[in-house]
Amino acid sequence: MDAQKALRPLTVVAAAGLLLTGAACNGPLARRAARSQTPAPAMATTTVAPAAPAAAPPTTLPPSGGPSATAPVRTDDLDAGLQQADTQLSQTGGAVGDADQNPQQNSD
Amino acid sequence: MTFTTRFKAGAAAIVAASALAVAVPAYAQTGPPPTDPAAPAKLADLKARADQAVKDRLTQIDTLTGRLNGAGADCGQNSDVAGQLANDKAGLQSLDATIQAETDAGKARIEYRQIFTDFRIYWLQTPKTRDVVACDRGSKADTTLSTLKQKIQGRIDEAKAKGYDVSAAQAAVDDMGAKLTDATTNANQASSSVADLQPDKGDPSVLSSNFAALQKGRQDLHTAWTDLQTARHDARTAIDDLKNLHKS
Repeated sequence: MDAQKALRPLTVVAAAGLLLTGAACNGPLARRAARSQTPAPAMATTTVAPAAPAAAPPTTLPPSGGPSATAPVRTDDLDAGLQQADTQLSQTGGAVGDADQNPQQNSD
Repeated sequence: MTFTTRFKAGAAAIVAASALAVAVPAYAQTGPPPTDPAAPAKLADLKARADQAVKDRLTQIDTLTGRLNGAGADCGQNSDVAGQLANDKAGLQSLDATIQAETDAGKARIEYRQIFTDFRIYWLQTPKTRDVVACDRGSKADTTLSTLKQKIQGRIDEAKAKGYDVSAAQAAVDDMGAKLTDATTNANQASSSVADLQPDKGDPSVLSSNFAALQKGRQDLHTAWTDLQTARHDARTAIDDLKNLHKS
């Protein structure tokens, strides 16, 4: 009986120590586990196109300095405009060639 | 160099030369001053020949009027030249009626000659109308390229505001603007300088001055065409530069 009474405080102290040790170890482990399962928030919020309007994907700025993978301004409509001009230039070339032809009858 | 290699090189050169010849309109000289056909001796033959000559010219007038109406633009001379062609049509019909009713062979010969000297449908009105239509077509292309130039300039300004070096694109679009201005000037010069040329009516000095004016108009037209092609090349250069911009 006396021995049991004498050991009871030691048991309580040992149990408390185990709990404290577990708590101390579980925090970093839990954080490490959480970090390995989700992408880093800091990476997800990095902005690479600060000046580009959100509605125009082709205007995305390239990383600083180097050659652009995509044009910094929209150019697809410029290409379309050039194609339209090409059609009219083709007609103009035809008309100029037509004007170069001699009259069908030089006699009059 | 083997025979096969030489043959291939020669063939390639011929193909390249042919492609250039097709791409660039041939700069043919305006036809030489006309030699008017002599009137047939018999009055009946003269009347038949005159009637056919008038019909041929009326068909040509309709063709030329159709070209003018379908030009899709106007350098400013369309209504003037269309009016001349309408007057020519009425005048030729009237002259044909006069010849068909003629009983005096001497008068008939003079009237027969007027089919050619007083109208010059083939020698004057045809190249004149073609020059005017070419100016119209060029004007339409010029307008489209000018609109494109404004768009390109907007994108250059946008890229410049973002800190890009746009000097090459700006130089190209500046040259484009200059060439479009030159094209307009030269095409209008070609069109306006020939639009009011009048048939010589047998006057050699008028015939000679008309010949010189047609030649000059043709040269101006070709210069305008070259200007337009250069402006088009500048546009391509500027757009490509915008696609490959670097941070300044």
